[in-house]
Amino acid sequence: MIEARELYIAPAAASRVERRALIVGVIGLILVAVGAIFRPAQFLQSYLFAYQFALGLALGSMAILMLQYLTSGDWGVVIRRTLEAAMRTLPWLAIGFLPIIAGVRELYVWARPAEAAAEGLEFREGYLNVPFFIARAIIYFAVWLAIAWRLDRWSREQDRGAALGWLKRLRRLSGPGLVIYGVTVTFAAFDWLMSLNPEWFSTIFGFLIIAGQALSATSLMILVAALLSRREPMAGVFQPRHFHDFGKVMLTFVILWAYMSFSQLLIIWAGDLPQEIPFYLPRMQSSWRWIGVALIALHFGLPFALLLSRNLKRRARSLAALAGLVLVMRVIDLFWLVAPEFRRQGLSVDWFDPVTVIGVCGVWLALFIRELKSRPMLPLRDPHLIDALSAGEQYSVNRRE
Amino acid sequence: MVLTIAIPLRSYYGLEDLVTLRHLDNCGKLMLVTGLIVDYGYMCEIFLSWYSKDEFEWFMTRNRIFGPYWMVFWSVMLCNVVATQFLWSRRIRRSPVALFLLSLVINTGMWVERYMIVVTSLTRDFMPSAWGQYAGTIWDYAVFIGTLGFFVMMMFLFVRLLPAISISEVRTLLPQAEVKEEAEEVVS
Amino acid sequence: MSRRPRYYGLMAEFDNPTAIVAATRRAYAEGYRQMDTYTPFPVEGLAEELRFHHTRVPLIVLIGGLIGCFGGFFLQLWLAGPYWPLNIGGRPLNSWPAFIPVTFELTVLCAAIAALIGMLALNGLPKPYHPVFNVPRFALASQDRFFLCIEASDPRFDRARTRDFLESLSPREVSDVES
Repeated sequence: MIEARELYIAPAAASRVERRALIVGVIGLILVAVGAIFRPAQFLQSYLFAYQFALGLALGSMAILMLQYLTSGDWGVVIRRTLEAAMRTLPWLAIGFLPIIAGVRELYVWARPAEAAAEGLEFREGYLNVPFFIARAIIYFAVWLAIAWRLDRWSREQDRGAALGWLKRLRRLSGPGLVIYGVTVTFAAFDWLMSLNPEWFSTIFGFLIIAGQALSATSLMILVAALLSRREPMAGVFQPRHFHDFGKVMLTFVILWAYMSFSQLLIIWAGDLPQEIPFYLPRMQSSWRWIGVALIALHFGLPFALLLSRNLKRRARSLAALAGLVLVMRVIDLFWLVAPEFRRQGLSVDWFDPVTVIGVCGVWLALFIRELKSRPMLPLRDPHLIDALSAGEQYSVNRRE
Repeated sequence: MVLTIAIPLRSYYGLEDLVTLRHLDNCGKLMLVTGLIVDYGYMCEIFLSWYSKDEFEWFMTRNRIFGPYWMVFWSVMLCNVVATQFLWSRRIRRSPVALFLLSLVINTGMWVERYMIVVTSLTRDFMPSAWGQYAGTIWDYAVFIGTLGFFVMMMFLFVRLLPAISISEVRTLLPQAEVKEEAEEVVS
Repeated sequence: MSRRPRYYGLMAEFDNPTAIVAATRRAYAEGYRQMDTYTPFPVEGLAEELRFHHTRVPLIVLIGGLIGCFGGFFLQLWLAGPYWPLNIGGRPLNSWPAFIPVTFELTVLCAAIAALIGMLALNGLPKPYHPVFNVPRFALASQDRFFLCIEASDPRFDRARTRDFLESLSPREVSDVES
C-alpha cells in the first residue's frame, strides 16, 4: 500500500502547468486590479461572471462528488480525487467573494435605494438590502464549506484505512447534502445573478445555474481525465468505458441546461408580462442576440449532436476537445447572463472581460492542481476500486448493493 | 405510478424473485428524488412570488394558500411534500405495503396538483369580471373515471398478452450468462 | 437466386455461452464468414466475434428525425404565416419559441416510426419460414442452448470438412439444416 500511494501521485507535468497557470493568472489579476482603480464598475462586472464560473467549477464538483457516492458507478471512483481537489478550492473562493461584497453598491442597483426609487423600481426591500445580502452570502459559504469539509475529511479517513464504513457515512451525507446544495445554490443564484435586475424573476433560474455548474464540473473532469490518461501513473487507469460514462453524464447536463433555458424562454416569451420580459428584451432585440444564437448552436446543438455518437464518447481526445468547447461556452453563458444588464444598448466586450476570466481561471487552476497533487489520485482503499479498474465491460447490476 | 401497478402485479403473479426488494428500494429512491424536485419547484414558486413584489403573482399565491381552494393547496402539500419525506427511511422503501400506500398518496397528490394549477388559475383571471368558482359536474367525473378505466384496460391487456418482464433481459442476469475468461485460453 | 443450395448449412449445439464464443472465434479464424449464432439472450462479446457489422438503422432514424423536425417547424411556420395569418395576442407570426415543443414532438415521433419501419425493412421480419427451424432441437435456442450455424453459401463450406471442423469444437450435437 505504501508504494501504491506513491505510485498514484500527479505527474511532474502537473507542476509545470500549475506554475504557468499561476503566472498567467497573477499577471491577469494584477492588470485588472490596476484597471479597477480607474474603472471599478467595469472591473466588478467582469469579475462577477468570471468568479461565478470558477465557483461553479468547485460547487459543481462537490455536487457530482455527492452524486457519484449515491449512484456508485465506476466512473465516479476514478475521478473522485479530481472532484475532491476542485471542491477543496472552496475556501479560496470564499475569499474571492470579498471584492463582490466590497462592490455591492456598484454592482446592484437595489443596493443604491435612492437611485432605485428615482427609477421607480419595485422590488422587495426586505430581502434585497446590503446587510441581509452579506448575511446570506456568509450562510451559503458556511454551509458549502461544512459539507466540503465533511466529504473531504471522511474520504481521507478512508484512505488511512483505520476503520471501515466511511463509504456508508459518505453516502448518508450525500443525500441530504445534495438537497442542501440545491437550495443554497438556488438562493445564491437569485442573490448574485438574478438580482442584477431586481424586478425580474424566474422560477427556473436557480435550476439553470445548478445545471450549468454540473456541466462545467463534468467538462472539467473530462478534460483533466483525458490529460492525465496520457501520462503515467494514470495512463492505464482510464479506459474507453469510463470516458463513455463521462460522455453520458455530460450529455445529460447539456440536455438539462438546454431544457431549463428553453423552458424559461418559452414561459417568459409567451407570457410577455412587463415584469418578466425585460430580461430578454436586450438579449433578443439587440446585437446580444448573436451570443444567444451562439449559445443555442455551441452550448447545446453541437455538443448534443456529437455526444450522441458512441465512438466519440469513447475517444478521450475528441471528448476532451468537446469538453473544452463546453467550458468556453459556460463562460460565455455567464457573460450573457451578467453583461447585458449593464450594456443594454448591444453587444460589447471590454478588455476587462477576457483578462479577468484569464486571471481568475489561471489562479483557480493553479490552486486546483496544487490540491490535486496533495493526495494520491485514486481512492486506494475504496472497496469498489478493483471493479472500477477492471478491464471488462460487465454490466454492473449484480455487483452492487 | 409504476409502483402502484408493479407492487400488486408482483404479488399477484408471484414475481417476488424477479422484482426484488432491491428494485423496489431503488424505485423508492427515484420517487424521493423526483418528489424533492417537485418540492423544490413549489419552494421557488412561492418564494419568488413574494420576492417579485408583483401584485398579481403574490395574490395568486395567497389565493392558492388561503383562498376558496385552500384545501386543494394543502392536500398537495400533504401528499407531495410531507408524504414523500417518508421515503428517506430504508425500512419504508423496503416494505411493499408501505410503498404501495405511499404511491397511492403521491398519485392522488399529483392529480390534485393538476387540479390546483388549472382551477385556481382559471377562476382568478387578471380581470375580476372573469372570476368564478368551479366544481366538478357528473360529466367531469365520468370523463375522469372513464380515462382511468381505459388506462387500466389497456394495461391489463398488455400484461395478459405480452411478457410483463422482458425475458431476454432477465436471462442476462443469470450466473450462467457470464462468459468466462477461458474462452480466451481455449483459442490460444 | 441462381442455385438453391441443397443444404442451408450445418448447425452445432453448445450448452454454455463461453463455448459458443470460443467456437465462433475458431470458426472465424478457420475462414468461415457466412455464419450466424442463435442464443436465448444477448451474449456478451458474441457480436464482436461474428464481426457483426453496423446496420443502417441509425441513419434511417436520423433521416426520419430530420423530416419530423423540419416538417414540424415549417408546417407551423407556413400555417401561422403565409397560409392563415393569425394574430395571437399581438405576437409575431413567426413565433418560433412556441413552435419548438411541437417540432420536438414530431422529431421524436417520426424518428420512432422510422426506427420501427427501418428495423423491419432491414431485418426481413416478419418471416414465416426460416430453414434453421427444420432442426428439431433448435427450439431450445430460446431455452438454454446456444447454436452456431455455418451456412452452405459460404465459399469454404464443404459438407464433410465443415462437419469435422464443428465436431472438433466438442459440441453436444451437429445437425444438418435442410433448406
